[in-house]
Amino acid sequence: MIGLVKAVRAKVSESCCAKLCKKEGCKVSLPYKCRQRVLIDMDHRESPAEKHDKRCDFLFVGEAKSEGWVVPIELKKGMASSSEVVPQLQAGAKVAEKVISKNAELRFRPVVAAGRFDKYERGLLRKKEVKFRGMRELVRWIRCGESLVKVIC
Amino acid sequence: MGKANSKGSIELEVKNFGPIVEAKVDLRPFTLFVGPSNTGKSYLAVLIYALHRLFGAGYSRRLRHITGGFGVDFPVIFGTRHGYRQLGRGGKSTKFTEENIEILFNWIIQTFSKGGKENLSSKSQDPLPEKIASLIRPLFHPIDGSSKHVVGNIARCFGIDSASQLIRIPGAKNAKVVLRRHVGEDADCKEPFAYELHLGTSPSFTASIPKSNSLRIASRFTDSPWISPLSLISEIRKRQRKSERLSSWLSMLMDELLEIIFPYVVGHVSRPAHYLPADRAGVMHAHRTVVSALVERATSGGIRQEVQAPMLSGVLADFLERLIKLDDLPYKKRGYAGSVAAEIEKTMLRGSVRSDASAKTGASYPVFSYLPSGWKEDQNLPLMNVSSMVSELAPVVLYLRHVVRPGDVLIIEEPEAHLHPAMQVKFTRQLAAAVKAGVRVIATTHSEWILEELANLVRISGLSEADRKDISGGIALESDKVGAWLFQPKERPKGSVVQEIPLDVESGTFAAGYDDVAAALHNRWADIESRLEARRRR
Repeated sequence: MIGLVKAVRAKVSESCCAKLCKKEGCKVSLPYKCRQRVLIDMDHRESPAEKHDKRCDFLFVGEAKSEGWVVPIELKKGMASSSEVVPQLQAGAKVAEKVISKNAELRFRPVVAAGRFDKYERGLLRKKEVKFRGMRELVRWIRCGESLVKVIC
Repeated sequence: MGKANSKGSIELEVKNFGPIVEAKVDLRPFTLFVGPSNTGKSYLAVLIYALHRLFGAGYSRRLRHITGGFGVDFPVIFGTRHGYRQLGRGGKSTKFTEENIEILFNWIIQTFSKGGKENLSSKSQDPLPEKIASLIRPLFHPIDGSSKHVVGNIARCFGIDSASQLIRIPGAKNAKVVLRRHVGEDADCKEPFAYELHLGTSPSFTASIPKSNSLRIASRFTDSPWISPLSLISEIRKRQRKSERLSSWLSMLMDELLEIIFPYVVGHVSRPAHYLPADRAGVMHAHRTVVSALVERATSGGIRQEVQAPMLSGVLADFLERLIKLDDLPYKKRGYAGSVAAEIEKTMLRGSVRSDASAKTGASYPVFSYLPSGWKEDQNLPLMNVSSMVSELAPVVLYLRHVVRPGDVLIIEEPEAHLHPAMQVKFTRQLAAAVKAGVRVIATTHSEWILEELANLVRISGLSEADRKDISGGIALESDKVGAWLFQPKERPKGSVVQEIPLDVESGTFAAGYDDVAAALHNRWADIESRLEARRRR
């Protein structure tokens, strides 16, 4: 998906692009295979997220092996709740729909980096999907400190 | 590494021992070893068992009937078997002149002869007079050359032939095991007592008994004044009346002194440990067959064929021996932790576990059976025909009912084996109840349920007695009584390291890495769903 990242960069302010995916004690490494990439800090005042709407922490857009990836990311240091995380990632998907051209073919992966889900929340996480342009995807779960490579690329 | 220097704590440090690169573990009343398979959890548990065997006081004739002969290695390591006159231990020595012996005898008489708990308790609070302590300190040093015996006994517990098999870390030539007893914050006990074993090219077994530390009578003897050496005192007096030389009773005197004071030096490691191996249910089923085969082989003399006898690890052999001798134990009916055993029978097994070596069974060793509640007395079911849960818990019940005494250590591998999660939770509660009854528990586990229930029990301790009454039967464990240790694989050098995992209040458990498995499982599910979704869209 050549040109995806370039197109996204053209639509967002440079100042809301982050280098590190890190917030409140939780950090995620970005996939080295996605050399072309952009990481949008959704909490930045110039981010494309609506000011008073729910939002996820980051929106990652990357290219690897001619595949485009769109990854809303929510970071939770300790215990996470699916009822909190899924709407935040859904909000991230909504922003992604706004900044990515409709014709682009790509893969969508909502990701939560969290210390832990209890057993009940894990059950809910298996059921709640995030929608992106008609695609429905379950949230992928990685642990704080891990790499996105575990679930994308 | 976890902090391990609280008052009275025992710290075990190992380096390059088995698959373990490095570990420093504080042995608490309820200690759990968790982590991936093949990282050395059972290895460390077996080592602890071996150390209990080595350091087990109560080696003397007087206590042997209570401990079941535990501590038989002790006289060899500390030289009591060879007498005390030529003591020369690791450069330490005591000259036992007639005068010194008389000083020791008189101290024993003064301390114990009046008897009575009150008298003994008040006297034992004080450090031993320095004159006495200086005579006794050298006794705590292992005799020269004892390392061979120590290593041999540890190897026996693992069921291996050679000590070199205990060193498995690539590139490592030596291994180290250190047992430290932090006596307290008292001004007169600043440094720990320590025993250090080196395995490998130049094996050694040494002790550090700091002169700056005072010595005291171990609390278990002050709690049980009936153990006081009255027989020794009466013998001393008899010999004094006959004007016999006191030196002829030196060995007996030294035995008594070691027995009374050594538990102060090594703490609960002087108490017996009982090991319930992971394959305990299988042994319960097969013990009669195994024993019959061994007896047959032992008595077939010249007619036997040349067959390589299978080797049992020491822990398994000891477990088997305990089962066989169950009916011979003199304290069989005392039931020190019996209430916990009864509770397991009532709430989990819904029936009772029986052992019978009567003439009726025709066996010279016990036959184990299970009687479901409400069934007639003669309707016992052989353990072969009961659920795997009953087989699994039967040895625990028998041990708690007949073998384990307060202060003893119960080491149990994978208590979750064959148990439904609900039963794992109940069993954790019962193990905690055993800890409350004074038994120390060490368990290796892969169970998230056990860790979560243990976390609950620790949290309950934050409630007042009144508030906790209707939760878990009021059982609670203070956080300093519980230690969970995570064994994690390490790449270089290839082996494992051990770290304490604290209770994570937010997640309500001890973070043992099970979330990695949960996350991987969840992501697989999500990938499968994603593919099914893609197929639907095509």
